[in-house]
Amino acid sequence: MEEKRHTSTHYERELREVKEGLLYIGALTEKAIEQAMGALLERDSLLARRVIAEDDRIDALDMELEEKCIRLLALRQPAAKDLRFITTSIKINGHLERIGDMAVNIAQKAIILNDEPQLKPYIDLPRMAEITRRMIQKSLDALVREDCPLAEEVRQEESAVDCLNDQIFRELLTFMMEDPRTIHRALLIMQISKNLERIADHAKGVADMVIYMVTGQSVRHQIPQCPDRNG
Amino acid sequence: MKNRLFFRTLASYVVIVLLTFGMIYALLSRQIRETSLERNEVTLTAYAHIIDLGTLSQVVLQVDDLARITGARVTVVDASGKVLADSARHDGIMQTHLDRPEIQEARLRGKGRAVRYSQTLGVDMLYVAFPIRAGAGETGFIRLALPLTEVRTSLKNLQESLLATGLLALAASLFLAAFFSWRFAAPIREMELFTERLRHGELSGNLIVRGSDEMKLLGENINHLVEELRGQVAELRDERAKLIATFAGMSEGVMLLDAGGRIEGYNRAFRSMIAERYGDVTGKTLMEAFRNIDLQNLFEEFRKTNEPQTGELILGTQHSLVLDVSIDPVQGDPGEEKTVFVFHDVTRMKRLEQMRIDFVANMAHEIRTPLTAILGFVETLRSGDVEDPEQAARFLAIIEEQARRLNRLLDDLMTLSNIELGETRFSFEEVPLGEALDQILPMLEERIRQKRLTLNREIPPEMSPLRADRDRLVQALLNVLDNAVKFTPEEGKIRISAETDATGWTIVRISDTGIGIPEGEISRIGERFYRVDRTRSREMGGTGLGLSIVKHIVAAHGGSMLIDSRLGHGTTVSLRFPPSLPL
Repeated sequence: MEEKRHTSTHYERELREVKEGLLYIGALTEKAIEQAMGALLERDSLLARRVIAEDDRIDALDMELEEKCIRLLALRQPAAKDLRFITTSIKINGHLERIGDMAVNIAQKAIILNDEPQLKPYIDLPRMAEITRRMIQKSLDALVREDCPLAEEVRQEESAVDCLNDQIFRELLTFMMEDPRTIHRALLIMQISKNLERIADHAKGVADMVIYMVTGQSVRHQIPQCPDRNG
Repeated sequence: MKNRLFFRTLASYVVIVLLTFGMIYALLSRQIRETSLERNEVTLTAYAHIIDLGTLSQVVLQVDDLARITGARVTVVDASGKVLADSARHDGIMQTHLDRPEIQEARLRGKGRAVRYSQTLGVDMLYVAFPIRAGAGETGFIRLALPLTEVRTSLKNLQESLLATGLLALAASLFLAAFFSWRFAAPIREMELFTERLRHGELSGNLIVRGSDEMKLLGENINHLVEELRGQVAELRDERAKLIATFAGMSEGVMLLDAGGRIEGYNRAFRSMIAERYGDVTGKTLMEAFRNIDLQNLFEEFRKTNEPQTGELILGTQHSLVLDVSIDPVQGDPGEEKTVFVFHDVTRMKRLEQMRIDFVANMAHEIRTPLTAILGFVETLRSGDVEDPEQAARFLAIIEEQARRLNRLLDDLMTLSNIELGETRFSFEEVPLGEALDQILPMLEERIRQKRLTLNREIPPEMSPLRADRDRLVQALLNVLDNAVKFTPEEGKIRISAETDATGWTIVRISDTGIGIPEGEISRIGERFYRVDRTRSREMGGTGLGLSIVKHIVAAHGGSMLIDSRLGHGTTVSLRFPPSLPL
């Protein structure tokens, strides 16, 4: 009896470590996006290089966490909610790692852009970055609190990012048509926008996983409608 | 407890009663028996002496009469032990009586006595025997026997009365046992209840001490202990209250982590730092609550080294907090060690520090640019390479322009520091807003025309004049309008409006359709040398002090400056002046 309790608390600690590890990676990715966007908006290439360097750490932690999850699956053979927690953790971990990569992409583009004159004041891009950052934040908060309504909110917001991405695309198109010299820069900005949009996708992925983890129901392929597009 | 006490007391009483009555019975029964024997013996002896008066043969003949007179059994035995006559048996078949102890005794001592259970009659019999003497020798014995039925009845009576009184005594002892055990147990029960209440933390009241025995002493001791306990509890509570007050009242944020790494509690200061952003974080781990890499790393370092840690961290993304944090262990039982975090909000300090650094850097930059130009052209002129007087004149003009720019910069700085130091005397008067504008607009006319801007003046004619220092007001309005003209692209619009609100405040609004200010930087406008877009604004000849001066002038009038802007759409600067009091 005593022995059993001992092992079960040990097991609980391992589960908690997985959660803490996820949150840690989440915090790192949150910071990475913030810094990558900061590097772009403040024209700070040094910061951008730091983001790129920091990604190695995210990758290492990602591997470590995945291994931990697999070991837990193999040794503890968890059931029901614990099993869902571990499998979703693996997936969330994957999403977060991808977000880190996107941040690196943005940082790389920022370095190139910073060497050239600014095409136009960034207006929609920071807004988009803010929404995506908040989406990650909320999806991680939802993970902490096992808060389905909050996760649902994140799913809704994804469409707003899509809309902004479209808007930026159209705007840059006019720039490029007016002056072919802007094409290089505009394309880079477009890629950044696309990266942000992908980050939002991954944030939604995290939110989906949180909902699955809590309720056991998969909402991955139910696409929330974009109100702007309908209107 | 009470019952056991009762039974014990009762048992001891019963034992005492039984022993007492047993002894009484033993003593009395012996007494009775002996008295009765003695009395009967005396009677029988007397009879025997009377009978002895006659001869043996006479006696033999008169046996039945004698028996009738004395009420005793009379037996006559001759010297050889042969029974000559017996009042109880007439068949004559009786064995020799010489071996009977009373006969033996009578033969030897002249009188014999024995108590024997008679098989014949089924009772104890007292036998008394005397020799019958004829001359010198004895011829036989006379034996008188009385059944001791009297003894038996007396004993029986005694037993009955003893039994009755014994039962009474037992009943009394039952009652007494109940009474004493109750008497004894009651205070104990009271103490028990009292201590039970104490255990549940009810520290009010005293034990009522009764009696004067050991129980009272014990009660007094308990009261004494409780009194001490109460004192200690009060002291602890007092200490605790002080601690809580200190904890709550201090401006540093304090947070306590339990041994499992979960947040156990935090004080008011910390709540006000984080509540808006993170809500209630009690029970969460650091990662769950703040998801802050720096804080987590610092905590992990602390856990690894078990050494106090200090560090700086930035909490949140927008309007972030800069916090100095120190992590210290809290003494506790092994496995129960807590951790205390002390947070010091240095956001404002950091910002001021940054402002100071920026200010110095900006100052240096602002001064160096014109100075480099001046020095460059002076050197060129001095080298004598410039022969063309026209070019020399152009150079001098540039030098003059740059020197003027330096002068302007210093003027602005002086104005600003004078206002800040309060050294500039303000002479307040009634200044109609229109008049002030009439003074300013001609200065801007040329540039407005060049940029083909539309300027709308929407000052209601019935507006009451502002109570202001005329020159300062003009300077403030000029600075704002100058900015509006500067940052509005060609063919833009500038609108000057004013109104008096319900509380009597005058609000002057200057809106443009200019480039606007990013949302995040609005709060920094008004800092000295702060520019949204450094290169562009400097090209336009600004010193970076304009709005800073406006802010200070308006503040010196008791008013405030408010900037509302949308990037790419324009800016509105509102100057609010307090109601002018009648002079």
